[in-house]
Amino acid sequence: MREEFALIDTTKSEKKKERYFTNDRILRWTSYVLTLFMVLLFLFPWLWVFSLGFKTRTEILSPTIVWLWKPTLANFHEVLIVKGYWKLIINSLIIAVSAVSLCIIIGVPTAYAFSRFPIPGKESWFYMILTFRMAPAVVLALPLYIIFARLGLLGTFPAPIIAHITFTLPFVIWLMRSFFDDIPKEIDAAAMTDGYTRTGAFIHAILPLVKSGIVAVTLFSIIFSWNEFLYGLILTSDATRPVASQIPSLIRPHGTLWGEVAALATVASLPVAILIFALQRSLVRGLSFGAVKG
Amino acid sequence: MKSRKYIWWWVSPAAILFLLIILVPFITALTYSFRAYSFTDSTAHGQFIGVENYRKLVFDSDFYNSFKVTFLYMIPAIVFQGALGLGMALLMAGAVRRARILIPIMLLPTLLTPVVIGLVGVLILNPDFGIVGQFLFRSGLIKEAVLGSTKLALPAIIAVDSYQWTPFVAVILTAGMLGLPKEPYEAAQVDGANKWQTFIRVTMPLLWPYLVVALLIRVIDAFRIFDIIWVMTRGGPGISTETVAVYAYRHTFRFWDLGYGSALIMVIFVFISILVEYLYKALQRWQSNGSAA
Repeated sequence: MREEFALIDTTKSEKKKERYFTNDRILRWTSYVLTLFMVLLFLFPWLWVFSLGFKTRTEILSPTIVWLWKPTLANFHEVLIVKGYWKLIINSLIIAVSAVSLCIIIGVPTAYAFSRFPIPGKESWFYMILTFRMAPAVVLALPLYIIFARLGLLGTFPAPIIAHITFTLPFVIWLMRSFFDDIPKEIDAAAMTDGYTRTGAFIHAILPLVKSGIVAVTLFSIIFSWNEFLYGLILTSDATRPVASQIPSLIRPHGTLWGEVAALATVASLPVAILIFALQRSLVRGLSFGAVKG
Repeated sequence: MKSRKYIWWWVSPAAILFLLIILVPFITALTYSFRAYSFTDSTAHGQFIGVENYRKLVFDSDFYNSFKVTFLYMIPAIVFQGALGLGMALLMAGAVRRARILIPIMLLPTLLTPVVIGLVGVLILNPDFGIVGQFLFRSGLIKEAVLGSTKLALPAIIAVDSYQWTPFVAVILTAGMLGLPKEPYEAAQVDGANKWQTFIRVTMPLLWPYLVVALLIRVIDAFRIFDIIWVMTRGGPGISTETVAVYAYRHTFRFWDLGYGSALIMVIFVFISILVEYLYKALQRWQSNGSAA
């Protein structure tokens, strides 16, 4: 086997010696360079906005764009510490972590049941779950507002947490099912012949196999919760508002402090940017609702 | 009988939660859609008024405008993102095969907080210091601020939306390309097909399901888009960028007409469920074929 490979390799390298700049090679390298250029093009606007957070007001409003400057952390200090917006970050975390952990605990066994059991009307349920996930936020925001106002929950943490469950739970069930579907049913059967109950088989044989799937679904859900804007705006008070919902109110018709807005946006984006890299292998699947398993 | 009970134990927590926090609010909205209920009008305190809210909706020209704006935004956005995404995928596939790290980098705009993406649009288009806005303004290409212009605001939103979502379409298609089987290509080579013929006859039909799923998700998203528009224009100037979701928000949480707002979200919900049914069927057909795995 190994010799065969070696053989192929030598023939290939001999070919390379013959003509280094083949059409295919030029085409391939052109595509690499263009890809790199494209990636930079998509990163540039984002990085430029970040750069504003590190500039002074005069540098931002300068009639010619300032490319080289001495970075300042004044905007970050002003918006996070002096204005106390670091609390918004904590609020975002409280909401995301509560909503997502509850949805994982409840949603993962449900997804397993959807994957394995003959639930009556399974596909209709699934279709309904997806519909609520895909509807605009305002569809549930309005009735939730009415109900929470009656219950006196407006402005408390449970309000945005419950609202975030409405889109997180469907996502967890939907995506986890696709991970469970990938695991052959024979593994459940084998575990059960080994003496495990259904629950035992689920916990000891199946869960370890979908560990990476659970991590991916968790991180995805945290990103979606962190990014959410509307529920966080209307169901909360100043004390419980998450960071994403606060940013638009900082943009005013006149006299917006752009440096501070950019600084807050930078802080709000960083966790997402980090989580994306942790998610690398499951990004495509998560974004396509499990349809594409690339 | 026993096994049925067993299933119930597995799904009951989620079913109860679903019932309490999704179905109950939904039914609340349904009942409110037949009532007069407004925070700004003291005579509308929740009394039953039949289909009056729906009648009002049918005769509201702003409502039709919001659908028109949604389609005016959706169609160019999807055509553009589909075409550019396909081009980008063709370009990227080779590089991505070698460096998977390109996928998360490309998807940064897609997954970043939409509010921040909207802010990127606002800042870049700012006529005083925005990197694009300043150029457009100085060079005399435009006379007014982009986001303050009834003609340019919607194209600007489409551009920012494309900035966010073209990478998504491209990455889905790239993932599709990397998973394509080799045999059809070998057959095409044997048959003496050139590159263009191979692309049209082999690559495109195989990629088609990926493109359909990516674009269907975008179609449904068009009815969800809110954050970016709210940050960039709040539906303005006038109602020139007021999509369905923005219109619904304005009537509920700005005008506080909750009865009318409830009727409105019922109509939107029916519309979405039809679209989702199409998406769902496409996904199912595809999963049963197994070509997506």
